Amino acid sequence: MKLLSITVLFSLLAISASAGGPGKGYQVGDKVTDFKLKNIDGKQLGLSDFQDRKGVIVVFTCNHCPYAIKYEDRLIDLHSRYGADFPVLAINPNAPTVEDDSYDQMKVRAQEKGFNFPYLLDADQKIAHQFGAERTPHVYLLQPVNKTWQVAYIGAIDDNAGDASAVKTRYLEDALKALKDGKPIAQSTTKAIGCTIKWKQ
Amino acid sequence: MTSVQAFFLLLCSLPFSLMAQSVEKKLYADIAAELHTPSDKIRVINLWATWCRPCVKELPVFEEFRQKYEGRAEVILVSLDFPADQDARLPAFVQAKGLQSRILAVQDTDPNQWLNLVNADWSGAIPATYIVGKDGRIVYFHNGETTLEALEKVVEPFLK
Repeated sequence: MKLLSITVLFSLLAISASAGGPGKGYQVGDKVTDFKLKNIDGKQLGLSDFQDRKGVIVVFTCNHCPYAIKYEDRLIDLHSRYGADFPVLAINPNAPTVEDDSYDQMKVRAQEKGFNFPYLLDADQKIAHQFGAERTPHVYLLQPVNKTWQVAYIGAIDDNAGDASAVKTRYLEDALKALKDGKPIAQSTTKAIGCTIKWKQ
Repeated sequence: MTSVQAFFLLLCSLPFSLMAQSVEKKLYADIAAELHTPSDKIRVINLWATWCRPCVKELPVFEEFRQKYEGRAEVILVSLDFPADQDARLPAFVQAKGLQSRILAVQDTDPNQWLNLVNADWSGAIPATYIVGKDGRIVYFHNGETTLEALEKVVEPFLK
């Protein structure tokens, strides 16, 4: 009750003066324009390469961000359990001003961690802008609808970045299980903490 | 621990505890309740973490602002460090940098449950900075790095 009243108070008081935020980029239900980006194996890869799947987990992520690093093992796990139906498609949107996030370092990190999913570079940051991604990690679960892709879920992977063993709600997994079972997604937008995407100046 | 060891520990830690702030661990709902209580000072809140490079880079901006506006504005550095880092890594960082601003650490683990209490439009990316007026209303919210000039521009009209 206390929390509720504070929430109400905040909604009444909050004034947004920030750039970005909702209204820019994709919302749940929006159609997604296909793209092609360079994978760490040098090949171009895009959504059209996954047309036979039940969905694609697009994750804007990177090498240097501690929040992104905390989720690397969980992405590998998700891909190994659901990859046949819902492959992970990781995209690094950061400008190469962050040295650890360069294309060469992406290859190194993928090798070190044994990424079992593609890891693409959004070199001109066009796709991150198109999606409206703001942080790493930032997840968009896409589903095919009438031969196009549609956003089904946006947000967090789960409810505890710091401690995988203490996770109670797996927001992303719950969403893709719902898609798999043809049920509505209970929570189609969630919020998460992350590192700001390093935009080109 | 023997009393001699304890004495030496106290002796060693004394100069540091005088120099830098200690870390107050709180749930965000309690932080929000405090911020939205009217105050005689305007409050500048920076959401940051020791692991966030641009946040660490801009901490001097807030320390400088705090010094310049002492008595008129309060700076609160709200750390989003992982709970596991709040007992050692964060206090060590605060000591090492000699931070003088008040340091709070958010204990909540599920951001989806509290980020909207900060601002409905906030994506959860840090750094983020917001300013709460004396009446407890948010008058400014900015996602990304900021500058002393930007903070002053917002704060000055409220101090007249």
